[in-house]
Amino acid sequence: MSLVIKDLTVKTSGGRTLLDSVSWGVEQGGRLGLIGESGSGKSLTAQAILGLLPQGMTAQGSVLFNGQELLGASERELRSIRGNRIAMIFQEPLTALDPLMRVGKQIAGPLALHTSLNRAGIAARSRELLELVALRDTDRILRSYPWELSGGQRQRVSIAMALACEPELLIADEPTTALDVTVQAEILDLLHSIIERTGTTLVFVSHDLPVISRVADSLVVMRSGQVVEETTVSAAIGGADHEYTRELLEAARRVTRLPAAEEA
Amino acid sequence: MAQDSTHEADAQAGQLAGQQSAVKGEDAGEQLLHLADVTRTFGRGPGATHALRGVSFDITRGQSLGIVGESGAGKSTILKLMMGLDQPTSGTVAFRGQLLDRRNRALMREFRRSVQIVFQDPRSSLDPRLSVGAIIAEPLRSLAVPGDRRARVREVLEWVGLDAADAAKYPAQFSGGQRQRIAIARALAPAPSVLVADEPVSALDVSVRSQIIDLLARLKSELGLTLAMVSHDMAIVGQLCERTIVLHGGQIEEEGETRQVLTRPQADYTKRLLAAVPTLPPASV
Repeated sequence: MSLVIKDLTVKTSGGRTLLDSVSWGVEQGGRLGLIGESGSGKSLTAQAILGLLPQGMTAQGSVLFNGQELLGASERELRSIRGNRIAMIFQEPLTALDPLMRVGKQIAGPLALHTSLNRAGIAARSRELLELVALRDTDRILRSYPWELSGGQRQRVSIAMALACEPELLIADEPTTALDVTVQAEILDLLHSIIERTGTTLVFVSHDLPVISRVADSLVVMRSGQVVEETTVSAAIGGADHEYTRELLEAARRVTRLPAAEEA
Repeated sequence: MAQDSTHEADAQAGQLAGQQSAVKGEDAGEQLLHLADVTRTFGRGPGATHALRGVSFDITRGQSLGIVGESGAGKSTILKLMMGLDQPTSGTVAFRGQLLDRRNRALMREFRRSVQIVFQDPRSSLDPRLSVGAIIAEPLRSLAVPGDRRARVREVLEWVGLDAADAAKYPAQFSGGQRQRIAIARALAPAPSVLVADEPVSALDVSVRSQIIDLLARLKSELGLTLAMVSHDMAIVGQLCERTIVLHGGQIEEEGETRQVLTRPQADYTKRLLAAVPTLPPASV
C-alpha cells in the first residue's frame, strides 16, 4: 500500500467534527478517485494527508505513506516529503502559481530544494518537464509569468511542477474544474498517460463522476465528512451497493445526458 | 445527497406544469431580441481584441436559445449586449423590433423589465445583508413595477419551490441550490419574457444541478418563459434549449435546432466540443 488512511478525524478548534473516522487506502501505482459534493470533506482529506489543514484544525488517526506516519510528523519531515515524494495539483492554477515569478523560476523551485541538480541540470530538467506535459515553445513559457499563459497552459505548468521530483504519490484536487471542456479532456488524457508511464500513485479529488471515471479505477465516496462507500469506478457504474453512490451516479447521468445518447 | 427541502414541491409543480401548453399566449414566435451583425472590439490598432465579429441571431418567444462556447468565445460580451449593459462597436441590438436606445426611456424601462438575468454563482450574486424578501423585491422597486410587492415576493418564492416564510431569512441561511432558486425568483419577480442565464448550474453540486434544471424546464413550460442560456455545457443546453448557437473566437460556428447541433454537428469545432464532454461509460451489466 502506498497510502493508508485510518480513522482520520479532523476537528475545528470549536470542537466541530469535519472528518469522522475516514479510512481508505491506495496501492502503489493505484488510481483512486475521491468523490463527494461540497462539504463532504474530500478536499479536507487531501489537505490532512499533506499536513496542510487550515489553522485551528486538528487531525487524529493515522496517515501512513509507504509505512511512514505523516500525522504528527515534524514540519521538517513533512517539508522533505511535500513537493518531493508527494505532490499536489490544485483546482485553480492561477492561485497555485506565484503571479510575480516567471514560470522557469517556479519550476526550478522544487528541483533546487529536493535535488542536487546544478543550474544547467535544472534548466534542462525544466524543459524536459514542460515537454512531458505537452507544452511547446518551452523557452517562451519558461520566461513567461503565469498570467501571460492560458488556463490550460497554466494547469500544465502546475502539473509539470508537481511531477518535477518524480513523486511517488500525486494528489490532484479538482484539477480540471476551472478549465474549458476541450482543455479538460486534454489535461485528463495527459494525466492518464503520465500516470501510466511513471507508475505514480494518483489520488484524484472531484465532485464529478464522469471526470473521475476517465482517470481512476478505485473510488471512495464521501458525504458529510464520512466515507460512504469504498468501491471501484466500474462497480459503481455497474450498480453501486450504497444508495448515495447510486444517487450520485443517477444525478451524473442526468446532467451529462446528451440528446444523442437518448436516440441510441 | 444534498437534499433541497424543495424537491417534493418541484415534483408536484412539475405535474401541474405538464398540463399546460408549452408556450403561453398567442404571440409565440414573436421576436424578443435581435442581434444584427454585431461586432464588439476592445481597444484599437494592432493590439485590439475582437470579442465579437459579425454575430447575428434572434431570440423568439418559446424558442429558448443556448449559446455554447469556451473561454474567449465571446459569451460574456454577448451577455452584456443582450442585457443592454454594453453597446456594439457596429451592428444593432433590437428589443421587440425596436433598436435599443438609451434616450428612449420608455423602451429601455420595458426592456429592462422584460429581460432578466440569473448569474452563475448565487454566493456572489445575492447581497448577504439583505433579506430574501428585499432581494426579490429590489427589481420591482428599481423598475417601479406596480402592484403588491409582498404578494409578488410570496408568489415567486413558491414558483421556485421555496416557502413564503423564507422571505424573512438571509441568503447565508440557504444552501447553494436554494440560493440559486432565490436568484431565479428575483429574476422572475418583474415578469420577464426572456430569462438570461449565465452558466446557471455550473457552481452547484451535481445532485442540485438536476433540480435547478428541472426548475428551469418547469418555468419555461408553466410561465412561457424563454431562456437565453450561456454555457460551456452542451448537456444542459441539450436539456433546456430548443435552439443552439456555437460560438468560437467571436463568431458563430454553427447554429440550428439543439437536437440537430448536438446529434449531427456540422462544424469541426462543434464536433471537438462534443467529443470532449466527459460522460459516464454505460453500465456494463
